[in-house]
Amino acid sequence: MQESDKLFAYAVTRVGDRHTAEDLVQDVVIAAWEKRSGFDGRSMLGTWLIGIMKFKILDHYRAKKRNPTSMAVEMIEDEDWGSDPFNQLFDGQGAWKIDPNYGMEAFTETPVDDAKRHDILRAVRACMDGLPERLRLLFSLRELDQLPVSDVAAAAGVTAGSAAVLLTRARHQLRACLQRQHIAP
Amino acid sequence: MSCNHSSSPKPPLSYRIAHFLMGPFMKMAGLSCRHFAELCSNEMDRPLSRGERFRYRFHAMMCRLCRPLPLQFAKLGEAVSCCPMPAPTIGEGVTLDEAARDRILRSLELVSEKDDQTK
Repeated sequence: MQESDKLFAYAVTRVGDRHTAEDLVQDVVIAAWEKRSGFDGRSMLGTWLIGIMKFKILDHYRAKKRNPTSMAVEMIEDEDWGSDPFNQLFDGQGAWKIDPNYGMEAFTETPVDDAKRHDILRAVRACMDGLPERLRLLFSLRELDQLPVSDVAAAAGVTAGSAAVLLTRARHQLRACLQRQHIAP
Repeated sequence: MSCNHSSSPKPPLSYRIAHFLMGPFMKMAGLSCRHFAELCSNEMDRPLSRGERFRYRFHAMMCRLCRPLPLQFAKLGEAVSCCPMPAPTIGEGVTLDEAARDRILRSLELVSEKDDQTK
């Protein structure tokens, strides 16, 4: 049970809801018990449990979207995907309306010290919280958990093609949000 | 999430002049900054086709303003994946409460009892 708080915190950051996260921890603990013979000790226990948690989170979203839709992005435009950041960042010819590097110095400098990293993480978290729910889900499964686009798409209930378009949208919304926050170098 | 960049400066004058003159051609050829920004994200999810790769490299070579974009996206991904994210809106230091802990323990006991019975 020592790992349960870590698992819980991990689940909460992905599903954003205490009760669902508690259920997921319970599922993981039971699955880990049932598969305990498969744990060979080569990885840390926590890492192994987080691995199981990733699948449980995917299952959770798949169950919510039991009928993966083949809708194109245009058809789900009015859903909770947020507005297209490209229309606000680029003009009709596809040229920048604003300087894309202003306020982004912290993201082009290397290396980044710990204090700066903490600022960046806080800003990223704040901007992620501002993303529409399903866009946040897509982005966090892809970037935090490094899951393949096909799995991420299945979890969000869209086709892989639409997931790629939506991931692009999420990244640009986040980038634009971070630019507004202007983390000083 | 609105995208109000009223405080951000416009791109440099040289960029605006170049795009005023070349913009329509760049857009037609799929070489605009917008196309490049899309390709920057696409390459994080899948390998680019040969044509896309050419357009990506060509644009990166000639557009000083867009050149840092891939690094910005890489840093964003790095920042997100390398460190534990701060807890979300429900509060810092998120932990299981006692009731949930008991419930999980009970369910684990039930499963282990079933295990023993089958053995």
